[in-house]
Amino acid sequence: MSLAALATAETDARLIERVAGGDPDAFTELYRRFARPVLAMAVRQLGDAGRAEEAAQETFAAVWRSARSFRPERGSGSAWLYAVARHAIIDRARQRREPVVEVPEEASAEAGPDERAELSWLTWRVHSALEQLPERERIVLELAYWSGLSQAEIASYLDVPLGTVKTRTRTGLARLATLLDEVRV
Amino acid sequence: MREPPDLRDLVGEDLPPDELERLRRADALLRAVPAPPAEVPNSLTQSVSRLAERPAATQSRRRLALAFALAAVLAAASFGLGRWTNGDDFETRFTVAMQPTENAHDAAAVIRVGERDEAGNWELELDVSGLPELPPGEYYDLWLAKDGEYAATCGIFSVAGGETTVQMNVSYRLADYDAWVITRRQADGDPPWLLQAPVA
Repeated sequence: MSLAALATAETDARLIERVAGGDPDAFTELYRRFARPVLAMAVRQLGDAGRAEEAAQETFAAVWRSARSFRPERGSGSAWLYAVARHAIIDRARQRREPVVEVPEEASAEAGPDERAELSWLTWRVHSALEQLPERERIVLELAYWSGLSQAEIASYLDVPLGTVKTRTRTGLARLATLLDEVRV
Repeated sequence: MREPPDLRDLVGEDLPPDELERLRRADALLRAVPAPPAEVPNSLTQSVSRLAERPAATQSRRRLALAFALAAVLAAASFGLGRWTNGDDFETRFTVAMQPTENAHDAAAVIRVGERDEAGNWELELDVSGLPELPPGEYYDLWLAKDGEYAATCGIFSVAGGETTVQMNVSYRLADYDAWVITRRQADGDPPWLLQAPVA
């Protein structure tokens, strides 16, 4: 996907509106974009893969059921999905009478509730943006930043030249910079 | 685990400063957040894909309301089990996607569990599709199992082709059971399981 194509990709809001009209293809595309961000948030907050999967399932059931409640003038599609996922995760935690607790992350070990909420939203934005990258670039970035592998090791693992790894890293970061233009850390 | 290399090592040394600065923002964001999950479980994808195989719940309720009403009145009068309505005020607390067994390959069902009322009753809403219409006087049964055995009925229902939505309520403690099961009600013996799901 080129940068121009990225800019013209159907927005999350438009997809939600199509889901509201019962369009299964739009629902599939929303799931493709947001399954991993939803699952990541659920795992962090519930600390259990099985319950996280249940919460993710309930999130998408709620999206399918409640897409008509989305009001684009009140915020982005991504923000609406984030809120739906948060509710589903909190409901899942309440079901067991356990508080929703962010599993500590290295970056937030000393963070208070506001900072944790901010990190949660930031993580959602970054993970969602990653899902919009071409798979070959997304995989290289994920390996580079979270696997502990060197670029030479990534090249060997993917069986591509080292130069290709650097090129994909560069183009992937450029796309992310475009997608997350207004986000700062 | 090793820290990711410096940005210049990742992208090379030959970038103009303004482009490098732009990439540095994305680099900082990736370093600031935890890793996403490696993959999405197939079981989640399959459960979610079934949701989109049927019309949205409220549309379905309107379309099938008449057919349900007749089946509901007949069934409730005969057995006094379950409660069928077509109201739109149901609020889902969590959802259970049922899996078809080899006895009902084409069937799909989702149970939406609503709020528990003051008396301790759970509101349930069942969307089911792919089950054949039964002769008059025969019903399907949604029930709770414990250790693989029939334990408690949640209600009986009929289907009218396409998707059927049925509302019920039960007063059981769900934690006392380990599976939701749909069978065809029969007079003798253990009926074969058609759909099943673990109790969360």
